[in-house]
Amino acid sequence: MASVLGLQVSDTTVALVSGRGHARVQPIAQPARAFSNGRAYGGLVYGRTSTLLSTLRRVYGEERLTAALRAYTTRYWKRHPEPEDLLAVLGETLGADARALARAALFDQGTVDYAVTQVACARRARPAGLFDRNGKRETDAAVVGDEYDGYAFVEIRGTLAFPADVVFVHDDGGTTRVPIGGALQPRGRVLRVPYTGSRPLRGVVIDPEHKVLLDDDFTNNHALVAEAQRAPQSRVFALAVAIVGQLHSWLAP
Amino acid sequence: MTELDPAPERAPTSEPPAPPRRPSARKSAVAIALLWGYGFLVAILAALPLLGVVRVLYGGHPAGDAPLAEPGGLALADLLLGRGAAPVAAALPASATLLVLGALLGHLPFGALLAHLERQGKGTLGLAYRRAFAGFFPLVGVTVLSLLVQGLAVLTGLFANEALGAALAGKVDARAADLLAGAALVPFGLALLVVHTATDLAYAHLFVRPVSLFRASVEALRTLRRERAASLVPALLAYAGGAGAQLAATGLVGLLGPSQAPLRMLLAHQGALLAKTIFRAVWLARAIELARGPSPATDVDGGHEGEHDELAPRSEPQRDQAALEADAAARTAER
Repeated sequence: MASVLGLQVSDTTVALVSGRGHARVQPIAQPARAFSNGRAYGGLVYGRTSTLLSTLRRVYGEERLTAALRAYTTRYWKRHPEPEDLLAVLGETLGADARALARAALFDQGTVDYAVTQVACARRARPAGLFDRNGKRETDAAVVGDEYDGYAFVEIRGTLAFPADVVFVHDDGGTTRVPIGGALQPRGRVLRVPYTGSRPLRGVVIDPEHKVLLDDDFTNNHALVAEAQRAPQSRVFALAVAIVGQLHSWLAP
Repeated sequence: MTELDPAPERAPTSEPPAPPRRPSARKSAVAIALLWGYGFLVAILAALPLLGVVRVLYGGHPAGDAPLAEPGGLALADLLLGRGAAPVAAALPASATLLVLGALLGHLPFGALLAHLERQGKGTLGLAYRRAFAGFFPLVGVTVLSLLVQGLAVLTGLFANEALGAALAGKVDARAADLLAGAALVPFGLALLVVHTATDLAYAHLFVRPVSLFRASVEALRTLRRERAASLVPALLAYAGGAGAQLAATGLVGLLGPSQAPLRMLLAHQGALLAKTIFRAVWLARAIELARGPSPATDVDGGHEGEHDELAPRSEPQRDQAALEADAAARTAER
């Protein structure tokens, strides 16, 4: 982790940024001569590979990935392993889905972008009106319960649907987690993730811990329900005012 | 004499006029606070376009901008280099324009501070602002002239640094070459100090006497030549004090990354900027004193400020005194 005047940047961040731009146009696993330029080579081979391994570590756990890499290095000590050998070990340790996802990320320019497009929540109410029951017509009044129902529409844009949590944030700060993804998918799709709970929703965040580092865009991983008040942007306000204030102090007479 | 005339009004009496008061930064505390407050306001206004971008992209996060302050900078890098890159690039010119405009209009509260320091006890803050308004364009002119000279000094310094580095390459080892080339920057750093000091003296001259931009600049250089140590030492202390406060704040809470304690960050930096303004005001008070010329207490002919030619250098009274003494000696000899 490097720190410059309060700005902390980890090697994970550097790897993510260097490889992300190239991942859509060329695969990681290809001969060195096939890369379009040195920057793409460095960004994909070093940056994107590192980001893929970090994603596997964060999603499936450090112990399991370490065990997989230990098995790989032990098994192929003083031999010439092929990419399939690595994928086979990942499959044995992390599961077949992880193997498929890793293969797509390495060979098929696989990408993913989780995005929340809508979130809503309302108090659960028993429907009111005239109902025919057992040959009789009954009139029910609307009854508002204590439970809340909600949903979030989540778009999985891309094929690498790594396991991720959809975190519903309650109005009191509590959370409800719903796991999604976990397997390679042929194309992008939309999920309707339901919510039921005793608290109304404030918003939703997908993968708040940024476990899926291969996610192309973190800025669309969240949304608030329509009536929720926005949280203050006090950190960015303090930062921007500090930087601009310092610049002004040098520019002004 | 108009209301905006800087020279102190005198009662029509045969009594010698009272010597001008020694300017004190403490007595201009409100003017200092207004200058600092103006800087704070400009910082907020110029930051608004950038804050708007973050509000659009992270306003919908239940935790607000907290992810942007997480160690490692994942979300921040994603914002600045990913989807937020284009909006931030689009917002930067607006912020820069507001910043430059704010710095330009900043001559008004700055001039008001100078005017208030110069006329302490003889006018209200409103009068000081009116005088600053009247002297706005000469003040801006001094700033522009100073920036041109500073730019020239910086460019010359960098050129000398590069040229020396290139000349030494291969003759001494790389580390020594870097050190020697860096040492070449020292004279230019001193030149910048001199330019800054002369600029502040020129600002002061504009308010001590109603002189032109050119005359204020010439008088500032004369004052600097006449009072080298008395000018440069307090100026250096003030600039170093201000820069030290800014460095301390940056070391304490950082500057380039969002902090988990935003209030602390805001207070630390604004406190540093307030300290910088106070240091500057203390030096400006001294600069006004220097721009007024020798004080009556130290004046060798016992006269008062304003009895000489208003732009007379300090040596003139001394010449007058010498002439009087010579005249008296001649009369004695005649008797």
